[in-house]
Amino acid sequence: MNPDMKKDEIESTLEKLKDLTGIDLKYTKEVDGMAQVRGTVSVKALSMFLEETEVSGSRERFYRALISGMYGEDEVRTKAAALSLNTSDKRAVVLVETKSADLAAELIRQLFPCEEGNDVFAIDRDNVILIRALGAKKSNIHDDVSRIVSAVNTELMENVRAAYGDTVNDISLLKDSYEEARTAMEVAGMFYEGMYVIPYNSLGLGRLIYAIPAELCERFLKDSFGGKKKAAFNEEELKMINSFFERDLNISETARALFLHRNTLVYHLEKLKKKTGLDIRHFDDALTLKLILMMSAYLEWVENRKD
Amino acid sequence: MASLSLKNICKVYPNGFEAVKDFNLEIADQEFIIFVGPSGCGKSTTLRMIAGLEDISSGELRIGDRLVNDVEPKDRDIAMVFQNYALYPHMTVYNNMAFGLKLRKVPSDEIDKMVKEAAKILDLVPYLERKPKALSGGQRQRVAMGRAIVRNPKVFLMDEPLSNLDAKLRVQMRIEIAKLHQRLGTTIIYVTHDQTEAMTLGTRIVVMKDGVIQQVDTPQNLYDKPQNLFVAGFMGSPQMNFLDAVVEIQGETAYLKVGNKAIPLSPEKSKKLIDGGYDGKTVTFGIRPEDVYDSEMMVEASPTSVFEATIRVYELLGAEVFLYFDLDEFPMTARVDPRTTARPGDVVKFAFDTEKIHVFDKETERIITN
Repeated sequence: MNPDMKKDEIESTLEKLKDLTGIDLKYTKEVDGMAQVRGTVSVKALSMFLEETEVSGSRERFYRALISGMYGEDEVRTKAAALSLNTSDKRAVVLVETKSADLAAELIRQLFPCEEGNDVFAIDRDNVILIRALGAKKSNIHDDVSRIVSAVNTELMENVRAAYGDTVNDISLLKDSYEEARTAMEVAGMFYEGMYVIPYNSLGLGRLIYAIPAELCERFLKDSFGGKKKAAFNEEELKMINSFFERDLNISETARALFLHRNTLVYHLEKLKKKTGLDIRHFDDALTLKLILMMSAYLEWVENRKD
Repeated sequence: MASLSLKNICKVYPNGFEAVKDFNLEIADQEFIIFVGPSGCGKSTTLRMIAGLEDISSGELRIGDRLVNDVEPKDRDIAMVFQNYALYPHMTVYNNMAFGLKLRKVPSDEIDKMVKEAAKILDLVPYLERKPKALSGGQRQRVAMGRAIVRNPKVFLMDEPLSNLDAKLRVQMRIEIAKLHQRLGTTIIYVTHDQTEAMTLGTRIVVMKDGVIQQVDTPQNLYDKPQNLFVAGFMGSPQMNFLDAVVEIQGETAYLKVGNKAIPLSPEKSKKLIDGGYDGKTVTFGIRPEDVYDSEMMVEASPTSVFEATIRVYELLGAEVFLYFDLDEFPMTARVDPRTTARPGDVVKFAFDTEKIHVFDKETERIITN
C-alpha cells in the first residue's frame, strides 16, 4: 500500500465516509514522521473498503430501485452497464419470507455467492430478495428455491416460504419477475397453505381468481350461490367437499378416507345437492363449487386487507 | 437423547384440509422409527410438526417429559436433514459444518470441538479443508449429516435424505445411516416413500395413508402380518398378489374359491373365516410372489392349491426371476428360482403356500387372517 496520499484524496475519502456513515472527520494539518504514515495508511484502507462496499452496495441499490420500478428502460441499461452487469443474462427474482431477514440473507448469500452473479438483500425485516443469476449452467430455479427453504429450516430452525417469478432474459424485466414472486406469495397464502416453495407459473386457479376484480367475484357468488360464502358450509361439509375434490371426485376413495360407508357419503352428497343446487359428482358443478370456495377465500382476504 | 410422545395429533389447514388425523405414537429413546407412505399421506407434515415448523392444530407433543407444542423449533433440541440439502459452495467442509453454529453465535472453541467430533464420527477428518465440489456425492451427503450432528440434538429428523441420490449411492448411504444410528445412539425419525429404506433401516415402521396411521410395527411383522389391504400392498416389491375369492365352508374347513378352483385353508385360518361369518361372501385373497411356486417338488407337495397359467412376461433379475401371468383374470406375479425353464407362452403349473395366504374383508379392507 502506498501511504503517499494527497490532501485532496484524503479529503475526498473522508467525504465519502461522511456520505455513507454520517461520520464527519476533517483533515486539519500535516504531521511529520510515523503519525503521518499511520494516518495515511488508515485512510487508504478505509478508502479501499468504501470502494468495495460501494460496488456491492451500488448493485443492491440498483436492484432495489429496479424492482420498485424507479428506472426507465434506458436508464436501466446505462446503470447496469456502469455496474458491469450483463443485461441479457438469465435471471429470476426469489422472494423469501422469514422471521429473521438478516440471518436468512447471510445464509442465502453463502448458498448463492455474489461472485456467481447473484445478489441477496433484505428488503425489510421479514423479506429477503435473491436475484438469481441462472447463467449458462443448467440451474433449476425450483431446486434452488427448495434448497433455500431446506437451508433456512435446518440452519435457522425456522419455517419459511419462498416464491419465485418467471426467469427473464432482459434485466429490465426483473421488475416483472419480482411482481410475480410477490403475487405468488400472496396467492399461496390465500389458497395453498402448506406450500413452501411457490412458483408463480404453477398457481393454477388461484392465480386466475387473484386476477379477477373483487366486484366480479361478488357478482359470481351472488349469481351462482345467492351471495352466500364459504361460511354457509359447516366444518363437516367442508371436510367432505375437500376430501372429495382431493380424490378427483372418486366416491369409494373419499368414503374410505372419511371412514364412511359409500352409501352414507352418497346420502351426504345428495344433501349438499339440495342445499346448493350443485351435484358435485359432476365435473361442471364440482368446478363451480370449487370456484365458490376459492372466491370466498379471496374475498375474505380482500376484507382482511382493508382492516 | 429422548423419547417422544404424540397424542391425538391433528393438522387441519384453514381450508378444512386434514393433513394428519388423530396421530398417536410413543417413540422410545434411541429408536430408529420410519414414517412411510405414498406422497401426500401426511408423513412430512407430521415430521414438520415434530420439528415445530408446522403448528399442531390439536393434540399433545412431548419430547422427553416436556410438552413442546408451543416451543420454538430452535429450542426443541432437534436437528433436521432434508433431501434438498445444500452445501455452501465456497466454504470448506469445516466451515460448512460450522456455519450454522456461527449464526447461532456459539463460541469458536466450542464450534471447533463440535465440528471435529462430528467429522470423526462421519470419517470426514481428511476432507475438512476441501470444498464441496472436491467431494464425492456420498461425502457431500455426510457433510449434510455433519451439520445436523454438530448441534448435538436429542432427536434427528430426516425427511427423505437419500431421495436425490442415485440408486448405488442410496444403498451405500443407507448403510452409513444405520451405522451412524449405532454410533450416536440417538432417536431418529426418518421419512421416506421407499419401502426398501423403511424395511432395512427402521426398528419400527409407521405406515401412513391419507393422514392416518395404518399400522405401526416391526419391519418383519408389517411384511408378514399386514393389518389391512393397503399395508399388504405397500410393503413388498413386487407387491402382494390380490384376487377376489368366494368363501365356502365345509365342516371345519374354509375354502377360497377362485374360478373353478377351491383352495382349502389351515384350521386356524378357517376358524377366523367361520367365526367372522364369511361363508358365501367374497373376500380379497392375498399371496406374496415368493409364496407362489413353479418347482415340481412344491407343486407335488401342495396338490390342493395347484393351478395352471400361461406366462405373459419373464423377467430375469440375476438371483431371481419374476413370472407374470393371469389367474382368473387377476394379474399375478411369482418370484421363482432363476433356473426355471418357464418362458412367455408356456403353460406352467403353480402352487400356493397355503400357510402364507392372507385374507382381507373386501369391504373394510381389514385383515381377516394372516
